[in-house]
Amino acid sequence: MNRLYAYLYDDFLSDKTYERALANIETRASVLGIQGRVARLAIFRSAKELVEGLVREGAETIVVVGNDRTLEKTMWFLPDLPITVGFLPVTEPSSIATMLGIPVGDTACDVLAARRVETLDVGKLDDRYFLTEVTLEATKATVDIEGQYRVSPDRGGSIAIRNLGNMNKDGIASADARDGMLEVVVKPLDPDAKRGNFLFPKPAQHREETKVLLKNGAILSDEPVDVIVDGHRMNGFTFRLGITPKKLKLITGRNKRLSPAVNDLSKAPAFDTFTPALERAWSNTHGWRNWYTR
Amino acid sequence: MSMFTTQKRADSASPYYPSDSQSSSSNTGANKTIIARGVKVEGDFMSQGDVVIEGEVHGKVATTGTLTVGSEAVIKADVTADEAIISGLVEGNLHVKKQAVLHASAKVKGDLTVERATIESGAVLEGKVQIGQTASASAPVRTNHRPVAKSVPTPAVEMAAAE
Repeated sequence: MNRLYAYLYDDFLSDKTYERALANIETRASVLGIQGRVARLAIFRSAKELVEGLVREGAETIVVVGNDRTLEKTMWFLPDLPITVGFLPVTEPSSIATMLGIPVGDTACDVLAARRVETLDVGKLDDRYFLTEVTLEATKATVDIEGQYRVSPDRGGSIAIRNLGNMNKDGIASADARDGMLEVVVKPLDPDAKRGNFLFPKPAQHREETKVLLKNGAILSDEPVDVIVDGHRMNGFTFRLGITPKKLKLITGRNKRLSPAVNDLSKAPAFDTFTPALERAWSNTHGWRNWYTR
Repeated sequence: MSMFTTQKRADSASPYYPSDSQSSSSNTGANKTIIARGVKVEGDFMSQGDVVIEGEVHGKVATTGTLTVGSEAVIKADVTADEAIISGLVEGNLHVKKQAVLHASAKVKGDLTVERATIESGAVLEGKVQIGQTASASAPVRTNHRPVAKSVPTPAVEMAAAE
């Protein structure tokens, strides 16, 4: 057993459906010499404490086994640990795995063994890290960009703040987690679009999307809004947005779908450099009461 | 019913991941910022690259690239750009460093300072127009006057001659 590796299984993998897939993965890992201790996530078990325990026992590579959701639900604490993160997708959804060039199933062990480590940025919503995106559905919230200007859907729409994701026609992620920026995408609802009828309802139609980049910003709303960050729902009036460059060491595959050329991001400011202009912008519109209700 | 709907929305795969057609419209340019129709921007909007505005902007707009203002766009702001292609409404002064194109549907209420301009028939322009000057405009204009002022000896001589 390789003490430097530890595997974190999602709780859904305890289902018998996945027995064979897990057996194949463990066999392949054993052949490659990267087998390690296994810990299982569970509803009433703290994932953070579980991983911290593994790290204390000497694990330097934590492999998250499951699907995109598994990676998302561990991402809020993984960047702060002195580890390299591996991802082993067993089943769908596996969009993140695709972007990172990691195949589904036991062949992902070969990617882990090759150890192409990429250092990625992680986004921050208040004090919570996120790898992929923050989304707001059917909202009239405003996004403050660098304390300079504000973007909002005129009559409501959806807002996504992405660190990693949104593959374009060429199959390359337009939000590249190495560029030191978050991508804000606002998609206003189209009030003129046909909504179908009672029997055949159509989903809300969106207009063309607005896209801007930010390093620091905020989500502002007069009413409490639901924000989904890496699949986790949060509610509030105001959320700080930021990015921490080069925070997460992640093993990626050769066929990753990130942009081939990305600027050096060492100049990107840390999340803590929340600008006075931004703070002023908040207090001017919302007062400091919302600061405390974050 | 609504409870199940909410649950489904929370658990379902994000609409933003897939390689669907959603993103295609905005990914045409590497460094392009798009303000789409139905989106409002308030404040000092500054960009390093090309900017396409189809929505509404209040405040200031400044870009080092090309600014394209769509036919339904409404800009109530002073605008500074390297190049500008206007098809919508601009209420504010327009400083364009190189070339400005005002299409037939364009309506500009403000002063236009530009080096080269193409104004199509039907475009509305209410304000002063200064063509042939760079957008950093006013400053060079003043500096051009200063050398003239330096040739003060001439009028002085003339005045002396008059006396």
